[in-house]
Amino acid sequence: MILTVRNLNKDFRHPWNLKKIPVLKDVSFSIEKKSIVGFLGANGAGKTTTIKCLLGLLKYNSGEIKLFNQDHLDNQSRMKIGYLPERPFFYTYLTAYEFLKFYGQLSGMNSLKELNKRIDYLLELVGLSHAKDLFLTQFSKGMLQRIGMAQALVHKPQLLILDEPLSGLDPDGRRQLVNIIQNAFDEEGSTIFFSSHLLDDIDRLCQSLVVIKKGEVKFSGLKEDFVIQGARAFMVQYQINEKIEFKKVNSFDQLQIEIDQVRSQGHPILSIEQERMSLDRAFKEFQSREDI
Amino acid sequence: MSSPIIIVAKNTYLEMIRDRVLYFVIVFSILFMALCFALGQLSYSEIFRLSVSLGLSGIHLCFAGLTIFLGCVVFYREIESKTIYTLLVRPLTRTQYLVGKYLGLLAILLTMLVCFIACFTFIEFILGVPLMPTTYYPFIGFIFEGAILLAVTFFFSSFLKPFLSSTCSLAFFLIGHWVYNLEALSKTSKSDSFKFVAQAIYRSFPDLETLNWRDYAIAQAPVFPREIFYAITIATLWALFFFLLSVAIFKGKDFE
Repeated sequence: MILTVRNLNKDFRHPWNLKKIPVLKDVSFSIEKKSIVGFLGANGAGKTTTIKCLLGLLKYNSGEIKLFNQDHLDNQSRMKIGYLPERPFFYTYLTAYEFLKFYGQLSGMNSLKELNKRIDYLLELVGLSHAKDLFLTQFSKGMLQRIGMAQALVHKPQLLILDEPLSGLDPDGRRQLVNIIQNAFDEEGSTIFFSSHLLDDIDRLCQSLVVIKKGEVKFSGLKEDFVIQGARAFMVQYQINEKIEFKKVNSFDQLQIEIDQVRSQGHPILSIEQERMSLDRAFKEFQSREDI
Repeated sequence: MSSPIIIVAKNTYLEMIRDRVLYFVIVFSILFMALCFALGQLSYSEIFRLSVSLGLSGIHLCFAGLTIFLGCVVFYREIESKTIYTLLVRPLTRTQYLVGKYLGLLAILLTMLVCFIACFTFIEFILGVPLMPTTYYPFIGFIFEGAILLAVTFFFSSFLKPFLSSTCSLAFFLIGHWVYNLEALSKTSKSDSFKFVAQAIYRSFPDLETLNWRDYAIAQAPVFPREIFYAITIATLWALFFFLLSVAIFKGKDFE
């Protein structure tokens, strides 16, 4: 496992009465090497708080976080992480080249020749070669997001943690960034863990999901399993004399009743299929369920 | 291999050198300094002495103001703009980050001081004031006072917003120059309780007047090296004390 989180708890204090407000409750999940994992949850569910705990920006009350089987605050494990925060603000007084050089050097890239080569490659990858010597203050939001991705990738991280990387971008900007993320996975072999509200993009990119609701991880596993778990409707196909009939039921209990009914009437059941859902619909269903 | 401290220090230096606000403050400081010299010209006698005195006082105030501005703004800006997030996830400890910031700002202060010395020398030369090595002793005091003030602004900025942090730092600067008088007053007081309180306050703050060698410059009298050594040692210890306090607070800080 590249990342393991066990029983993570984090409380915030109310600013006035200092009462504890639990924001993460026994959060546990793990991420395998060479995978793209989506981190899903509504606003305020605890996604950014979890990410900040992973990165050591927030101190947690209890639990354990291991990165590459080491303590998550260890310098050795930090060298292998790339991070793009939500709504990133960067040093606007630096040019794109200076900016990437600064982060590259901070990440332990000592050979200037190699670093320059890497910077040229990344600027090409994110489509900003023309802006190498421009100050970041002259960059548009989309350009800032792309240079932010480049800073996260500059030291060839093994794990890339992205917090809402696609929010606030136009469709073209989103497409470009999705391609960069896909490239980091395909060409650089990075494991990617990213949170997003944009389920279409998560659906397109991710193989696995971690779903958090009100500070608790409710699902961690393959995307297909989440979609199936979310789907509650079943299609029953049975035969009455020579005619084939279909019936849709909306829960597992109803399905049992329907099966019993069809069988008691002596009709053969031809098939029972669970309805296929989009990730978007499965997530909406999941959010609306009170029992989880 | 470049140390992360040096990389952060270089970046901080670059940040300030490219900041237009800093140039505005410097221009204002130079104008203020020139005004102080001009005021000295209004004197009927002792024009040279008064020019040096007012000029050095002007530089002193500007330098202290600049130090507080740099310490409060740069530190807060980094947290407020969240640029600190992408830094602290790198193989860089919070202590290394603070040391780098501190050294970068100290380098900026030294650069500014060189500018001020150049302006001072130029104006003195224009006025025909005889320049002696003793005239420059106060600048040693300025930089060490700046080192303490910078550490104090770091300390306040680690838990306060810039306005409060700069107000507290300014109050600290004023108290630091006032405790000397308080201590002198306590020696002449007959009240034991006043003596106790005055001494307690005196011991709780650095006596910034020990770094003030303006009178020597005006009187063109030499400062004993022992006195300089003693003052800068104490100043370094105070700066270290406040810096370590800010490190302790910063280490436990949550970036929500």
